This record gives sequence, C-alpha cells and structure tokens, in this order.
Amino acid sequence: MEKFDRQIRLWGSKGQLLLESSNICIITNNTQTICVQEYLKNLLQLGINNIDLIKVNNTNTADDDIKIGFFDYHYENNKNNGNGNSVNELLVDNINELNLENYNVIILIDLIEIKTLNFFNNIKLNQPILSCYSKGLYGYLHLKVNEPHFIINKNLEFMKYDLKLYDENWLELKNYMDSIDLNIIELSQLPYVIILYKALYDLSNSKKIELNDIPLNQLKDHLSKFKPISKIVSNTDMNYLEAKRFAHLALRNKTFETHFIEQMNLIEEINPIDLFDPINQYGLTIQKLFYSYCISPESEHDMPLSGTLPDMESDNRLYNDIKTIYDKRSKRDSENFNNYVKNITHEIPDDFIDDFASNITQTDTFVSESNFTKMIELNTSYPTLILKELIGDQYYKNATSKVSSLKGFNLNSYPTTSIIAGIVAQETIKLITHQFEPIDNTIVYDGLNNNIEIYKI
Amino acid sequence: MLCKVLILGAGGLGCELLKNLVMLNEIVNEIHIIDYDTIELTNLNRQFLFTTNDIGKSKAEVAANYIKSHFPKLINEDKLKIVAHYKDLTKVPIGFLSKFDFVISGLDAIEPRRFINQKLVELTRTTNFEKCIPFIDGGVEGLKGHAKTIIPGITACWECSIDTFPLTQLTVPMCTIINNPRNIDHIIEYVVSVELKNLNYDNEEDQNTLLSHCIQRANKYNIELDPLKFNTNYIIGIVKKIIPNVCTTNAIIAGQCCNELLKIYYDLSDFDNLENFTNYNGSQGSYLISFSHDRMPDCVICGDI
Repeated sequence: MEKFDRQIRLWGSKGQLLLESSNICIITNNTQTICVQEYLKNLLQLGINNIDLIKVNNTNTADDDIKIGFFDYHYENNKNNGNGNSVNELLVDNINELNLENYNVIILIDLIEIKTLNFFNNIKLNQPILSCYSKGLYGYLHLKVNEPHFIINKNLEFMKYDLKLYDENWLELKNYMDSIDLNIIELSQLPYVIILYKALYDLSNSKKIELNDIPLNQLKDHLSKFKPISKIVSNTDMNYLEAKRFAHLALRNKTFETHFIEQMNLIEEINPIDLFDPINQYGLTIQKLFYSYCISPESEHDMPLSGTLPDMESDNRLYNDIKTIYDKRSKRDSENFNNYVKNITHEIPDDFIDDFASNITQTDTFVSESNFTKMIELNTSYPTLILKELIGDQYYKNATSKVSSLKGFNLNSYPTTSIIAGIVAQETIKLITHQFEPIDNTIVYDGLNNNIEIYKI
Repeated sequence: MLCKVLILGAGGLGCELLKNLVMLNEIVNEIHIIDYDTIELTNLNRQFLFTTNDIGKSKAEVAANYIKSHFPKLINEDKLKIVAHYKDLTKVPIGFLSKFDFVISGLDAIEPRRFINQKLVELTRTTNFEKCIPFIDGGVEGLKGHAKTIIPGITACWECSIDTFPLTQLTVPMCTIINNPRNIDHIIEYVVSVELKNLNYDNEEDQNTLLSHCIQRANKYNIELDPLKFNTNYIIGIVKKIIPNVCTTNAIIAGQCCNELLKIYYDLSDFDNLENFTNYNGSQGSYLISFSHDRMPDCVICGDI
C-alpha cells in the first residue's frame, strides 16, 4: 500500500481498495490508439488490475489508423503485475454477445461506429458509461448514468459544518451555554460558537423572531450591537472576527435539507428491485443507506450532526468542553441511525453507517440520463462548434472531407490525447470510489484557448 | 527548426512531460532533464518510467535511460538526443540555459522556479531580446493544478504573480500552538518545532519518539485522539508537508504545458491577449479556466525591461 500513499491521502484506503477490486471495461474499435494506451497507463498506475479491453470487430478500421504510441501495455502489464494478466484483450464480432453486467464502469474510447454507439444508447444498464474522443487541440468527454450515482464526499477540502445552534431540544448544549456567564469570563478567550449562540438567542428573544427565521444580515448586525460582547471587543480580536465570518453557521442551513430532499426524490424513483441488484456492492450499500435514511424517523425531523466542531480561536478548556458535547451528539446520532438501519438490514458494516451518518451534509446523488443519439445528430443545433467538429470527425470521417475551420484541429497533438485520457481516468476514479462529483455531463476541452466548456446533453 | 527543450524535475509531472516531448519528436530533437532527487517507493504510483528496481537511483538518469532503451531507433538515427543531469538546478550557469528553445518545469517547490525565472529574464535583458526563452511552468496538488506561460520580458514573469501565494504556510498563531492547542495538528506543530527539533522523519525510532511525545501532549490538553486517523503515517504527512499526488492530474497538467509549447512553436498563440495562467480543478466536475495575468510594472525581476 505504501506505493499508493500519495493518492490514498486523497481518497483513503477504502477508496484505494475499491479501485483495486473494480472491473473496468473498455470498448473500442482499435486497441492501439494513443487514447486507449494512455488510459490503460493511468489505470495501471492507480492500481486498477481487472481490465477488459474489448475490440468490436469492425471492417471499417483501416490499418493506417493505427498509431504507434509511447506505451506497450503488454510490457507495462508485466512490470506492474509480474504475471501480466491484468489487461484481457478480447475481440467480439457482435456487441450483443457481451455480458456487461459485471463491470463497474464502461468506457467507450475512440469509437468510430455509430452502430456500437446506438447499442449503448438503447441498452438498459445501471453502470456509468463514459465516452471520449480527441483531435488536434480539442477533445470531449461525456458521461451517461441511468441509475442514481451516490457520493459521500468525506475527503473534500472544505467540510460543510452544521453547528445546530438553533436546535432548542439539544439540552446538553443549552445547559452548557447557559452556564457560561459573559460577565465573568475573559471574553477574548471565547470561541465563536459561544458568541454566536449568545447573540442568536438574545436576538430571537429581544425581537421575538423564531430561531429558524433569523436572516443572516440581522444576526451579523446584532453581533456588533449585542452589549456583553460589543463592550469587550476591539473589533480586531480573532474570535470576534471569526464570529462575524462564520455567522452563517449559527443559522439553519436550508440548502442542506432541500438538497437532501432532492436526493430522496431520486431514490423514490428507483425500482425497489434495483436496490437489491448486486452489480456494484459499494454503490448498492450507499443506496441502501440513503433508502434507510429516507424512511427513517430522523428524516422527518433533523439531520444527524455532520462531522464535528470546526477549529476556532479559543481557550483550550472552553473549546474542549464544547467539542466533547458535539462529539457526543455526533456519536448518538450515528448510533440512532445505526439502530434504525439494523432493523432493516444487517448487511451493512457499522463503520460504513457511521461514515454515512457523520458526513450527511457531504453526500450527493447524481443522475445523467443522456441520449447519445442527440450527440451524433449533426443537423440539430449544436451548443458548440468544437463538439460538432469532433463528432463529425469521429463518426463521419469518410462522409465529410471538408477542412475544419478550427485552428489547430488537424495538428498532431499527443498532449491533448494524454489530457483527455487523464480526465477519463480521473472520472473513472470518482465513479468507483463514490467520492468527488463527476462531470455533468459533457465537457469539451479547447486547447487553443485553454478552457473546458461544460454542456448538458 | 527543431527545438531543444529543458525539463526541470523528473517527478510525476517530469515523467509525463518527457513522454509527451518524446512523442513530439517531429519538432523536438533534444531533451535535457534535470533533477537532484532519487527514486522512492511512494513515487511509483505516478512516476511511470521507474520500477521498484530503480529505488535509490537518480530520477533524471533512470528516466533518460528508459527513453534510450525503449526508443532505440529515434536515438540511433540521431532523431532525438536525451541528456540527464543529476544535479541541483539552482547551481546551473546561465550559459547552460541559453542553449534551449523552451524550458518546462514540473517542480514541487517555489525557490527553484524563482531562480530559473530570474535567470531567463536576465538572459532576455542582457541579450536585448535576442534570446527570449519561453518558460512554461506546471504545478499539481491532489486533483488540482496550474500551468503558467512566461515569455520573459513580454508576458508576466513568475515573480509578477508571487503575491498570489500565501505569505506563510503557517496560518495558526504561535500562541495557540504553545498555550492553547485544540487539535492534533497544533500538538504535532509544537512537538516538532519546540520539543524535538532534529528528528529524522524516515527513521522508525524517531517516528515512534515523535508519536509518543504527541500522545503525551495531547493527553495533557485533553485532546481526544481518533485512533483511525492518529498514527505515524498521519503525523509524517503533516511534518513533511506531504502533498497528495495522482497520475491523472499529472497527465492533465503536463499535457497542458506541452500544448502551450506546441502553440508557440506553430505560432497559434496570440501574445497580445495571451491567457497565460491556467487553473485546473477536478474535485467537483472538471474545470479548466484561463486568464491573463498582467506584468507588474514594479516587478523586481522583470520591471526594468
């Protein structure tokens, strides 16, 4: 595992295990294209070892389309594995013969046959399908996901905290806050969570506003007027500045809830039979958790405490006191949810349930029911000329012989292909680890202007 | 005209840059690669020109040898020359730099970039624009990265954008570290900067000493230690400031740098409106955004040309 240390620091050892046990299927008309070779290189580097490279027999493939790339993956294979078995090359005459159920992700690289594309457009598959192509300084990548794809973003750089100061039923927090006498304590030592709590309740009581209805600007305003605090503050004390900066954390964040309701709506659309369809064990487990949560009594009330208390300027003792209260609550919320899940199923390990419950604001659900044929109907109005030119070159090469008006379209750019293969591999990681948001749903790389444009098709 | 390119750094980005430039041998006929580092096991998840047999050897030399042994035809027919330099790049003379047409960097530190930038600007100044070597700089961290294109004396130099970096890596005040530690990171910072200054972080015994000091101090301040997170691996990550790194981001950024070279070579770039700074972020969707960073009129390096 030490070899993978630098990437495990991004997605954790669970994420790495998911990568190493995943099954990837690459479908192409030519296994020797630069993009296929570069993509394979990336997968092998990541530690992904079960790869089927499937060439769909296609009489149109001329030998001169074969380009010599940097990699000989048979060699790379031996180097990485010792036994050279990780990439299985298969040739199929008819795509219908393939059993695609056992793959985690399906990747269509440099396809040139519309027939094959149509097959993937019509087939009902639960797995995500990525497709890509590049030419000159340009390239695109498209993601199709029929079934909701679930994400627990626990390794994001920025945690979405929820302090739950508005929760009047949280007696432990209330009792502690009430025990703090602002007239006795050295005010510069107060963590901002106390400052916010006191200001929030003072505002609510004095102005007779419901805790849940307090607007942010009014709370910020009150922070400077609120007597016990304003008298001490030189306006440059770190804890006071932090209180102003993080004032939004004191309020109920309705976006968490609306976001969650959206996710639940997606779940409800799932056929319950699909929930028990064992294609992708990890994704399925998360699905079950979401499902359990949706029908749990918690979902009627408040979401479990997500994460814990963020670091803040404070006296060590006060901070530790409050952190203990938050940690207890987080543990209790997780346990309640755990018990609930256990009533439904015993198949889900405890650490998994804890991860879910304590990262609930970091979850996301994602569907992209796209239509490939929309992409290849060149007559329809196209969002971008670049995509139109790319699709034309990919699928209609022989039919259109006109010169592209795009600068650098006919340039031989190995780097562009390497970039596209890099992005496809990055999206593959996201789909397998169920961390980080995938693309939604088409990106177009423009190497002339150094931009990526995003379209929903 | 075929070009001579100097690659700075033979790490994750360096391997990708070298591969791309070898594949651009229609326009590149000489590549030098410089790095003073040796190969470690944790490099192998992204530095694909190396194997476990190469651990301890020079990165630059092993990378160059890989190309020589895998592309004998290019080498033997004199279509491509590869030269490795196992040395400190901040010690290279300016005359060495002047023979290149492009300098591309894939480094992980700020100082060597500033050094090379200063030398290349100096070259432009002393030769009165006769030598104006484009400097393309790539950088990666996790799923994010950047590429900057510097035409010395014409576009913003590396120093012009130095203010886009935080002044110091340490954002927690020292008094917190000493008197009010609240989490594991504060504890570790204190132990390595006050209690144990001269540790060898690669030595197992020193690692254990470090761990036990951290536990002691955490107990003293009642800081709860999450056993899943708190271990030697985590502490070493903090003290060595280890940056997460993955092959996919390297491929994207190195590709971007090489496309910049291609566009300058084929004159596809518009230098008057050059969007010379490109940022990539792949953690939520996949974003590549470019903008134009102006020259700083009072830049200490390039302000006078």
